Amino acid sequence: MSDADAQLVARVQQGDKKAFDLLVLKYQHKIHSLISRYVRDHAEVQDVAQEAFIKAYRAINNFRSESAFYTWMYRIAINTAKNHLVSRSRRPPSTDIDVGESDEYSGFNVLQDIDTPENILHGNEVAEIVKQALDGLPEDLRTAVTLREFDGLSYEDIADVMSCPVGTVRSRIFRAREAIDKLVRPTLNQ
Amino acid sequence: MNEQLVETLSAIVDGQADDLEVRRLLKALDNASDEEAQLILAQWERFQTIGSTMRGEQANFTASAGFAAAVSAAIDAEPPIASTDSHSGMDLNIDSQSNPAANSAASSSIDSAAVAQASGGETTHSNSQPFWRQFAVAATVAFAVIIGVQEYGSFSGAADSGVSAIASVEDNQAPAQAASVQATNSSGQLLLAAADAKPAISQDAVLSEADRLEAAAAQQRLNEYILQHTSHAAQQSGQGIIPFARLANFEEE
Repeated sequence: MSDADAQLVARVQQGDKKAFDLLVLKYQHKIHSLISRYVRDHAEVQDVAQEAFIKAYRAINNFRSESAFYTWMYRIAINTAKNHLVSRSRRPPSTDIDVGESDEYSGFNVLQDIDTPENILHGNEVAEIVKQALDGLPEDLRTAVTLREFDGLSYEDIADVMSCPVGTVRSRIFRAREAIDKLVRPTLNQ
Repeated sequence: MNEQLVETLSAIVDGQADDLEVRRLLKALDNASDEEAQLILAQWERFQTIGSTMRGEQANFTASAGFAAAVSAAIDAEPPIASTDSHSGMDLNIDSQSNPAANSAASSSIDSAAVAQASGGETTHSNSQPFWRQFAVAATVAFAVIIGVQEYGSFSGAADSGVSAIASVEDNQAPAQAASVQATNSSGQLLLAAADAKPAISQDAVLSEADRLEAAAAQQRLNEYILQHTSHAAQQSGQGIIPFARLANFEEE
């Protein structure tokens, strides 16, 4: 599990509901995309996703951090979706989507009912703005954020690669994100 | 929103913030006005979106704008999570009655992860419910008290007053039993009733003069038997004076 998720889950288990809000915001789109593989109606997808998150919250003390939070959440979401189909007297699919494949399914390649042309266009637009913003960043900021987001390196590893203190890495990544955010915000707030 | 908070947010996105920073952010969220909290959450969401877009993970925005707020509102209505025993596997505050969806999931045996949670909640919930279970516990405790009182009465009767006194003590057990059985109506007063029962036995075990004389004679005969037995034991067992030491101890008691 990523440290970020582990920290937030620990806070939720301590009774901090706001930490769960952050997890919902982080995974809401992935969970929606996943559920939409089973449930086609957009409104139903929203309901099932909400039910899945609430179930996860109620059972968060059962979560032992032996797997990634998303893997656990993914399982709850799939089971909730299947259950929803059974309750509607519809037959759930016989094969599951692997947790590793779920992102591919939610990507550009598969057209789903939930992927309206507007949604796809919006996604493409955001991706293009992020790419342009990244290209326009100063070299040190771009390197720092790229090593973090593409290569998944820790701040310590990035500090080694860039021969600078960890605090500088943290600051560079933050400033890179802030710069990208400034450009992408108007589109995301639409 | 100050810059330091946004930098902390960025570090939390990467899992590179320490626990204190996470707590500080969550506290800031708690203390913030609704508008400020929305700004922080929106910033967090955008950072997540930027990251996932850079990684090519997310090309569509399938969740509606108010989705997270709706989940948050639903969770706010939930009772707080019990944080004390994370190994119990149960959320002590789950009310299965308020979760019909989870109950239906249990019946279908498909929703394994969530059903485990839901069924755990039901199990825990039922612990505080049925009256018959409390009654059964109270009855068991009352039975144990009665047996205990009987045993105590037998022992004290034999030790204090000799063999004949036992009969008198047993005769006086009926009120004690009645007191204990009566106490089962209110499990909270069981121990009190048991405590009351003990002095009732010793006070009521009043012996007649003839009984006392008979008891004293019986005690003397018993002491003689024990002394003879001890003498034989000392000669036969090869333990020398040890059996007499035990006898002295017996007499002291």
